Amino acid sequence: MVGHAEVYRALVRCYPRSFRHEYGDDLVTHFTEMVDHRGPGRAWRRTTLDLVVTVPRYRLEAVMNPRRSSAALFTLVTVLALAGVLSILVGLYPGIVLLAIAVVVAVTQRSRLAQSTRPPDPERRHRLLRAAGALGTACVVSTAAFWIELSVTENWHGGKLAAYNAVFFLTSIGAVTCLIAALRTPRTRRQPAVSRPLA
Amino acid sequence: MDPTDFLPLPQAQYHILVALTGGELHGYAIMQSVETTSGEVVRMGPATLYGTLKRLVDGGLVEETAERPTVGDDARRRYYRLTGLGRAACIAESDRLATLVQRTHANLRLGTA
Repeated sequence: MVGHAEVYRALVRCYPRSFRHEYGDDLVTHFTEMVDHRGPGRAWRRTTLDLVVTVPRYRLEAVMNPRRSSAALFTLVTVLALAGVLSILVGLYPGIVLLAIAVVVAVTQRSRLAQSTRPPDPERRHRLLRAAGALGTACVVSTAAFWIELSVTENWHGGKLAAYNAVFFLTSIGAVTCLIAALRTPRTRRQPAVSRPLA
Repeated sequence: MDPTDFLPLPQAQYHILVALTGGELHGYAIMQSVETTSGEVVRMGPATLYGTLKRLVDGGLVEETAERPTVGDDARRRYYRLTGLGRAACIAESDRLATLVQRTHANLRLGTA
């Protein structure tokens, strides 16, 4: 039988990686002590509320953190945008499959992608995020236009409509995330090169 | 850094600083202390506590310490203590709240007179 600590340890995986790495073991130890001292009922009541409040908050903070690699975000939005375009080009259902594969690859490999393409300076990071935001926005607009046109000219089934809504929703999230991150990333101006004094 | 730059301190941060004025504590002891001093009004879950501690550590108000107040304590536990800046920020916030309380009492006395 799975114990309370094991269940909580699994739930701790909902927190951002950096927070988990730093405090994951402390959280579980703390929870175990709560269970021992106050009983499982009280411990779970407090912890459930804590999870509901803090998981989205810490996730959002991690996304909005300017130090977070913009390369991973850029890759994610690019992949989503390409999959959205492909879904229009190759047909809806193959496109949805491609989209699902792309999302899984981008999410599971995000740290590797970020390491391989980490932008070296804040200025480039800012440019990447703006580009990703623009790309995502373009994809959202084109998908929306396509959706409106088809919904007017064709009689769509509920599933097809829901699938296009999903594409639209995912690309919108990516675009908005990148735009907000770009706005929050401090922009640094390049220092003019110091001219060497003449000998 | 000026301690008044941190004012007003969020409630959770202030309560943790107050708990640490008594000496170094580990996470669970901080939670218990906060509950006691607040009369069970402020209740923190584990992630709220450690998230707030992280902010305080990042801000330089609290630091982790290797010292163990009790011998034979669980080695996995991490202890925290106030820094000089944290102590100054705690005093500044306490003074701010004291002034607020005095003002409130004065106004209420005037109102009831």
